[in-house]
Parts: sequence; structure tokens; C-alpha cells
Amino acid sequence: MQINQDKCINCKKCVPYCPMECINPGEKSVQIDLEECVECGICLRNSNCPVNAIEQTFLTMPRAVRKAFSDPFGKHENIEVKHMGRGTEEIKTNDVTGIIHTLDEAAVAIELGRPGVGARFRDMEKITKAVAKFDIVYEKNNPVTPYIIDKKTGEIEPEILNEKIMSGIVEFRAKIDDLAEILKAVKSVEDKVETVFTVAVICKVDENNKPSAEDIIVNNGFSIRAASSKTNMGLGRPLYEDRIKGAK
Amino acid sequence: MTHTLHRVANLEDFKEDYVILVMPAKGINNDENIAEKLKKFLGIFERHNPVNLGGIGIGHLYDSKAEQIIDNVYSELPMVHGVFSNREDLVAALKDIKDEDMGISIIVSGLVDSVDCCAKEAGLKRHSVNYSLGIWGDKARLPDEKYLEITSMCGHAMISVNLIKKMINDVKKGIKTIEQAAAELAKPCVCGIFNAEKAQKILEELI
Repeated sequence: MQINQDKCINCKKCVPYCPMECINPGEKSVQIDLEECVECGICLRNSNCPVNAIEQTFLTMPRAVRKAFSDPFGKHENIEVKHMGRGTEEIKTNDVTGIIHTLDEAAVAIELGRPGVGARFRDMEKITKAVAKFDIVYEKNNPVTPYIIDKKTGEIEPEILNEKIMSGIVEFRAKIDDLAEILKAVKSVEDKVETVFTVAVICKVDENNKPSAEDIIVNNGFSIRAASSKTNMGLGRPLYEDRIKGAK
Repeated sequence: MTHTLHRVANLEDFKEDYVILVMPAKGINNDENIAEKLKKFLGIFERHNPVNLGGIGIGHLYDSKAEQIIDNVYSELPMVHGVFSNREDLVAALKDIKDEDMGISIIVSGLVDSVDCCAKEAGLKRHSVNYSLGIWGDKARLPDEKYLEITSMCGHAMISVNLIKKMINDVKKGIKTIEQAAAELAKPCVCGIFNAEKAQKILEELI
């Protein structure tokens, strides 16, 4: 983003809209701190600049990752589905896609920078390195995954390590038996991460209506009764199991 | 993405905040009829007193009328949402969705046990669950909890703490009513998942 200095009348109307607090009043015009700006576009879309002084600049790599991961309308070109947003269909279409289709596996989604603080990829790398020793499979449609250039070590593309984004999700599948140790590994680097992050666990529900990861989560000290959740209601068709049978 | 998952709230407030997400599986069931189906889902939401409804690029109730939002649905739209402030409306919407049987994945955000009860009431059985294990890391960088309850209602983090502060000032100065201030905070959330009724209550507490 940039503020056209010839147009800006210093009304400061855009200042409170910035979630990164990086639009600063100046003597004659407002200024964007480009080091902190994540290119989310909210100033352009919502602040109704009376003189249209807010402009989207053409972004090239590595800065272009900021917009892709921060602007809800930003598109990711590095994955097959080229979708908008930061994550994937994950649990939302799990009844159809079968991303998690057995009771002995779970998915973990660790969103760096959320809620509202922002993150640099160097912080994300602390997480990917912490979980690298486990037998995990990264979600191929997640836009973070292609930037993890060495899945065995968790190394992230060096070119983007210092880029700041609103948030990005490290998303992978694992054996449910490894879940407790994975959460411990993430916990072990928590104080080294210079931002906030959210952690989520996705699992299937068994025949008796019990989520397969519930006991592991509770036994590891997490309170799930007072926390937010998302539940897939199983109404999508064709169900994953039927699609697989049909393919055979 | 997990944009409705990590809403911050106390137990009582969670009971007034449920989001239904409708998402086609790309390459599997987002066929040529998908736009009509998504319109139908939005129509169902509209019948059951939603606090908000919409989807990315089609508008939401704080910048458009429901009719316009439904007209704006396009075939590549990734998902649509409806936000409800009580269990009765949620269950009624879920029953209608079940009866219509359109074969598109339905997800509900809220407290896990509460959503399970609503699912049972609507005659549905859970397929899978996504648990939030909360916020980790350098939590000293977070704003006060009440502000977080508002900002976390937009998973894309488009609502700034400073905008909340400005709205509080505008209300105190008589420039805006609390209702107008809550509606202004809903605008940056382009997916239409922001619960402005809940925001209004929080603003009242903050003021």
C-alpha cells in the first residue's frame, strides 16, 4: 500500500482502520510504515479516503506474500486450487474429501499471528522445525506448505523469512498417538515465538458420537468445554467412503 | 480457513453466537448447480432471524440487503455463512437444511457440547470436530479481553482495536449510537461472520 503524498490532505480518517497500527500521522500527510504493513488492504477498502490517496502498489516477491496471506481477497498462486484466504477446506468438507477419514489420525492447524498481531515467517519456521521430527503429512492445498522447502527439517524458503503477514497456518496430518507429543513440542518453542498463535486439532467422531482426539486433548490439560469449536454435520455428498467405493 | 474457530468469549456470550458455514468441496460437488444451492442456503438463513449472513465478495447484512447478497452469489464462491444469536434459530435453520438435503457440507461454530446438542435436536449426527486449543505465544501483545472479543469475530483480523476505540469515542460524543457503532465495526468483516449484536453488548460494557 502507499499513500499518495500529493493527494493526501492529512485528515487521518484512515489511521484507526489499520489492524497493524502502521498508518502514522505526519506533519503534512499520513505515512505507512511499510516494514510493518501486511498489505491487507483494509485502509483502501473501508476508510473511505475522501481524496483517494490510498493506492495499492504492484507487488513482487518476496513482498507479494504479504498480500496473499493478509488480504481476504488475496489469491495464492503457489497451490493447485489458487484459492482466496489463508487456510484450506480442512474440516469444513471433511465428510466429502476425507482429509481425516480414520479415527487413528488427526490434523493440527497452527495459525501464526492470530488473533490480529501478525507474524513473520521466521516465527513460523520455529514451529515447523519443532514438529519436523514427527511423521506428519503437510496439507498440500495450504499456501504455507510450498514454502516449507525441506519437510524433514522444517526449513522455510529463506527469501520470505522476514516478510510479515496477518497470519498463516501450519497444517498437517499426524497419527493420533503422536498428538500429545506434537503438542508438547509446540509448547516447548512457545516462548521463542515473537508473536501469538492459535492451535487447533481436527478429528473424526466415532460411532458413539465421541470425537477420537477428545481424551488426548483433555488429558493434556486443555479445556475444550469452554472453548470455540467447529463441527462438520456430515451432510456433504458424496461421502468420502462412498466416493472411494465408487472408484474401486 | 479456520476463520470462525478462535472466537474469544465467556461462556454466557458463546450461548449467543453460532455460525453456520456452507462449503462445497472444490472439484467434487461444486457442480454447475452450486450457485443456486448457495442462494437457497442463504434463503434458509434469512428465514431464521440471522444476526448476519453473507460470503466473501457478495456482501453482508451491514453493507447490503439480503436480497442483494443472494443475487451476488457466484459459482466460484468458496462458502456462505449465517450467524445466529440463539439456539432456537440455529436448530430451526439446521432442520431446514437437513430437509432440503442439498448434499453440501455444513459446519457449525460454537461451544462443542452446545453445538452437539443442537445437532441432535435437528436430527443430525456429527461427522468431525475441530477443537480450538486457544491462543499461545506472546500473549502480552494482545489487547484487553473485551477488545479481543470483538476483533476475534473476524477471523481475517480486519477489525482494528483503534477502530473500536474510535467507535467508543464517537458514541461518547453523541456522533453515533451504540447500534451504529457496532454496525460500523461489522463492515470490514467481508465474510459476513461478524456478530454485531454481540459487539453492541460488549461496546455497552466498554462505555
